[in-house]
Amino acid sequence: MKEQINDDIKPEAEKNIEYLKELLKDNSDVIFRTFNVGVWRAAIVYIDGMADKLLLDHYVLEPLMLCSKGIEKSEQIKDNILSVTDMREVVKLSEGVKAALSGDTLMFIDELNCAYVIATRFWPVRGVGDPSSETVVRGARDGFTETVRFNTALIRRRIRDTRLRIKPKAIGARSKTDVAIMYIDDIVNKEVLQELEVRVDKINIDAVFDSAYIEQLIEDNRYSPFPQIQSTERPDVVAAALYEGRVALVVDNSPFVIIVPATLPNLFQSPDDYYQRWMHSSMIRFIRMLSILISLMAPALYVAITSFNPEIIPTKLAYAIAASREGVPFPAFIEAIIMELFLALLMEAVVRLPRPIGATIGIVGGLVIGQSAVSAGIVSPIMIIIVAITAITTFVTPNYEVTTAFRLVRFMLIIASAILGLYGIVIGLIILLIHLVRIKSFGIPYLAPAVDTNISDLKDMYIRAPIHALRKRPKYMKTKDKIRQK
Amino acid sequence: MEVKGIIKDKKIIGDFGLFTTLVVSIVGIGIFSSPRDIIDKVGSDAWIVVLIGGSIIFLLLWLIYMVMKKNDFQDFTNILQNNFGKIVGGAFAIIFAVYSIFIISLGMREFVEVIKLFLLRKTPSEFILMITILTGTYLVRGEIGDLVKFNEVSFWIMFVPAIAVFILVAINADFTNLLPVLNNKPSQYFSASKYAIYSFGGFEIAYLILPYVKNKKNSHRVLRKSIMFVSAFYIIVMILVLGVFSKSQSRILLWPTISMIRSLYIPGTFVERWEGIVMALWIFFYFTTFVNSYFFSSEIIKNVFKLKDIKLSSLLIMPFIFIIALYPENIAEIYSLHFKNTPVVVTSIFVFVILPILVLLMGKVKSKGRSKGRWKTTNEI
Repeated sequence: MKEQINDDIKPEAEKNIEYLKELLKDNSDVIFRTFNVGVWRAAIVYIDGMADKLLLDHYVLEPLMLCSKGIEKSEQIKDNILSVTDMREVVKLSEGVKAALSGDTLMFIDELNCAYVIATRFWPVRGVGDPSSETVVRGARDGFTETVRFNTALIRRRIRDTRLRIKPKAIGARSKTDVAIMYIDDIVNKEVLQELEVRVDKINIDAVFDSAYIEQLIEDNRYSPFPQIQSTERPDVVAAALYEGRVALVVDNSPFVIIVPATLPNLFQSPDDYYQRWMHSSMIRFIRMLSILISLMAPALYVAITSFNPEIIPTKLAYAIAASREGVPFPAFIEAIIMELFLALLMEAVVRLPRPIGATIGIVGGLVIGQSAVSAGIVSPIMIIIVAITAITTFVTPNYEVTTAFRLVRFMLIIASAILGLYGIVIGLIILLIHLVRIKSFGIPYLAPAVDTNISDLKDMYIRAPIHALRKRPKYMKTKDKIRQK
Repeated sequence: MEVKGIIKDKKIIGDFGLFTTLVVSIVGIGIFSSPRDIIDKVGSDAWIVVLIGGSIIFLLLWLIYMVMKKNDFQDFTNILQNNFGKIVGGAFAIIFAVYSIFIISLGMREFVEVIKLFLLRKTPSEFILMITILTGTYLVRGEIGDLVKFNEVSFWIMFVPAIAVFILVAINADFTNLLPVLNNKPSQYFSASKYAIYSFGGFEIAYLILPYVKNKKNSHRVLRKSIMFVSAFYIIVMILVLGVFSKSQSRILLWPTISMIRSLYIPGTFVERWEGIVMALWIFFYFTTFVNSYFFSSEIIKNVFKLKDIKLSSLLIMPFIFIIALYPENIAEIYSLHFKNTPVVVTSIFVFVILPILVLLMGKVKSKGRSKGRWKTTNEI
């Protein structure tokens, strides 16, 4: 898979160009241009469409070809004529080629044993847009884009600290995707950082298209439905995470930045929690916990109660449920599975379709089919209510990936309740709990700070204490600098 | 392609982990039946008996702490083998493990019967048993840190609803039922405290946990707090059972605590009969006791036979739990096996009283030429 490039740069520009023409043959977008600078021959190589032609014309070719009088040595060209800010020398040809393929311009001049790389990256980009998957009522509305440099700039704007570090890496043997590891040097947990670098360096894949690839390659437990790494579109979330001592990974071509380590309570938090007043945020957190419990258990409880323990609910309600189920030919378990599958189907369809059609699907699928299924006697109205409650409570969770994990758990709980009733639900929850205490994210327990509890961390978990009370960084993150405010 | 980590688990347990582990290991299935036995003996003085039982257990726990301290907080099997030699120490360790397995298996059977009675009338016991044991095995196959984390979370799931239930039950209780105080013979208190002590079973988990505790200087204080917490919890249960049923009625109920919950009625809720819901939550009470003892026994078996890891020893123990749990024919037989069978009682006295005292005496007799333990001093970490 690894390509072989002859790494020496020859002192004759023409010879280098001949070699590169052979290496990059049959490519319509590679531009080779040779010209004279005073008495020397020079050549530039760049990719059409990825490099800034205007900059090359006005600040590279124009001064080189017109103002080369008085230059005695080719070494002086760089310091006296080339009027561009960002350039560097490379001595290895492979490095230069890689830069050229990323949109920079590679330049050879006679009598030099090195090549110049001029930063001319200028490819089609999308501007900073709304973070559409994580909206907030109050708070910044800038979201990441597909360009790694823009994204690091968005984060840097929020951390004007000399100790912010942005380490470059390239991942993918062929795609050579730019990746930046970001952290604040005197806060970060060094163990986590070292672990992340080890894992990233071990990745050996031909191409990565999105941060999701890297996320799945470096996570701790691959056989878990739960995401152990946080991904976000919001620069303020990343900046806040860096201040908490976590590490961010910005991947080119992906508007999602990944943050490690992530714990389950982290994934339940929305930036809005910190922008709203604390009492409201605390209430919202409580509602979120309640709703995740309801979304997990509502259909399973329905199955357990109707098929095993109808005596638990009031007699009148039990009669009402029994009456509404009278014409339904399926047992409660099949009924629940049908409706949950239908809900999953509906959500998937709405995500895939263009927005105007998505609304139609919602109306046809939700209203029309739901109504007709009840009148046709396939499902009971109570089941429709339960599925609707499940759907609404699911979306209270701010993180989509956690939602999908809990959906799988919900299906398992329905099956458990069909076999063992209420006992099955509790055993299912115990297994879920065991799974959650067993997994870790980069050495940090996944349930922290609900486990390894200490008081100062709990101020920002079940409730969100007033900002002035959040004096310390999370202890479970084992940060170097522990104090957030004096 | 393998991208594996380098971070290792440090196996260090905080004070809260120690506290919750002890509490959830102790509070178990005994809470259902012990009120009947104790009230039968001493009537309205049941809470005093619990107090006596708690004090005795505190002394035994203090004994465990002294044993651990004298032996530099090594693990339990090491301590026994260093003091009594490889074979005798190993045999003692195995007796300990077998006793633990026996007790948790009996508890398991009682638990299954409770579940069958209130939640799953038609499901065969074997199936419930199998599912519970397999679930426990899933946790035991992990690391000790995972077990402690599970205990920490379970603590809240257990005690927050329990306290809510107690408050609601207390509204209907008649506390004048407690009134004739201290009108029994002293000997009756002692014969009743036997049952109280059994409901504290599970405190031996301290042997397993103490070597991994971070702040060992403070741990005897944490042990005391956890015993106080459990005693207070049991005393509240006794008082409530007496308050709701009076002594004459509590005597004839099989599981007075459960009957007490059945009396709960909250108008205007989605739930009419609470015992099903409460039973579902109380699965945690038994499960934590079971899983902690199971882990400890597996750890002992692993260390004695020098097995590679706990996954193997837990698999070896699994069928024994299943068989012992199925052995009694009915609930009465469980109780007679537990409390009246002489070998079992003698073993329990040996394991909890004689063994630690022996270790302490051996430590005095032997010189300091012990092999180095995992922890050299308490301040090393």
